[in-house]
Amino acid sequence: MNGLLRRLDGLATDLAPFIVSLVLIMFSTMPVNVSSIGPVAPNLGLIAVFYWTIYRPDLMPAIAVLPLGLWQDLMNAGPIGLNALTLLIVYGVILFQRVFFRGKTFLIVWWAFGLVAAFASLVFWLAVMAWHLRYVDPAPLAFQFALTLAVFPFLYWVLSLIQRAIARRAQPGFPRVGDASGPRGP
Amino acid sequence: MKYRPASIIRLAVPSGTLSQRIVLTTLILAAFGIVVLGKAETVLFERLRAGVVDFVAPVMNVMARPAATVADAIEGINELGRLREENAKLRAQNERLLHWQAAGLKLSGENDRLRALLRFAPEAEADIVTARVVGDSGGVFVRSIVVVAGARDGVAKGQAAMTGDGLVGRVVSVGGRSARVLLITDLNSRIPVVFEESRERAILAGDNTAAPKLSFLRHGARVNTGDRIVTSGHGGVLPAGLPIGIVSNVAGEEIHVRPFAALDRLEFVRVIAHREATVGSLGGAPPGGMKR
Repeated sequence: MNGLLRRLDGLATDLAPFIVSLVLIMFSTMPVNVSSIGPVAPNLGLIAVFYWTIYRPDLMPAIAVLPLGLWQDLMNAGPIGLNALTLLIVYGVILFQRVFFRGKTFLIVWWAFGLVAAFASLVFWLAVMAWHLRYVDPAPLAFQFALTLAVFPFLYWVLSLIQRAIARRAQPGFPRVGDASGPRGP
Repeated sequence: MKYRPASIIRLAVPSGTLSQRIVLTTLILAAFGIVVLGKAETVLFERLRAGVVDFVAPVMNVMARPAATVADAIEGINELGRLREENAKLRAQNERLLHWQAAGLKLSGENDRLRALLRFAPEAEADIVTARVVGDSGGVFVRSIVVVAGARDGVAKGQAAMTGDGLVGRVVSVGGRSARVLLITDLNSRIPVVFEESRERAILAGDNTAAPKLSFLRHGARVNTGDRIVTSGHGGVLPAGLPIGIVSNVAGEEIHVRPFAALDRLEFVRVIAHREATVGSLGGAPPGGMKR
């Protein structure tokens, strides 16, 4: 492989977490028509940002989180910017606390994600009420929180497969700031 | 950027560097700025959003099919068990409907004669566009759907979206090949309605629950559970007489309406083109056939 191709390959690998997050956010707006679940979909974007911020923060910088949040805002129909704002605030919390998550068992990471997701729901709820200047029933948000927590193990597993694929592609002689301590499978 | 390795002592201690904090704070302020800008400058963002949805709609369309297939399969298995019962019910209903058909034909004929007598300006047939629903849940606090039919299919802002059962919502933004429909249950949905029997007017206001509320009802108006609600056509946005739902719950001032359309599992909707009236308030689309 010559230098240019290798650099392109490296770029594609580096962009993988961002692109995976974009696609997951798009998935969040797909119709889930099996009734009784209702129109609420899990917040897959939050899971993706959480995962990459903990295990590959070098590939999920703050500057990537803003477009992800705006993407979520544009895909959805709510007020523009609220998802971006929430995602950035939550990102800050994860980033500055991430040493706590590293190398922990899956159950602890799951539990910690629960706290983060609850915090994200609270921030988003307050932001929506501040925007509309009226009380909004938080029930759908609580439902989304539960749903997000429920799909977390599966998505964690999928993302860890992607992370391993990224790590494999990072060949020796191709310098990259990496995170040697990979996640433990669920 | 080099990250310092984790150690047990640094447990739960903020680990960001100063530059990371500055970048993050700047970005949070930028996001806040976008929120403020979005509140003031809705047109620009609405256009941007329509463009984005337009761009991803084909992808979503492809992905929606397997999801719909799985849902259909589950539904199919459920239905198999109820087949006999369903059949008996349908026979009974069929008999009832035949009776109504006879009554309807008689009334229709009578109506035609009376209209001729009065020289009543008839409502023209509407243009109808059938569209597949490819995305719903516009967010936790938004009730909206994305359909694959846009400006080039004749869909325009303000048009009504229906299922065979009743009104679903109205089109709020349109791209070239996709459009977003705000459901009647959404927080921002306000539909002028009228009681089919008593002709009392009201506004149907969504509150993000499955059963939107009636407001601005005349004080002392008689309301009963089971009353049918239809669009009134006031404001000229929606055509008059589209079925919406029935009053499901009356608790003092709080009147809730249960929509006829199954808003939680929409697969296809019909968008009804309704151009501004030319004949007083009776308007309708100019005579035209049905589009696909």
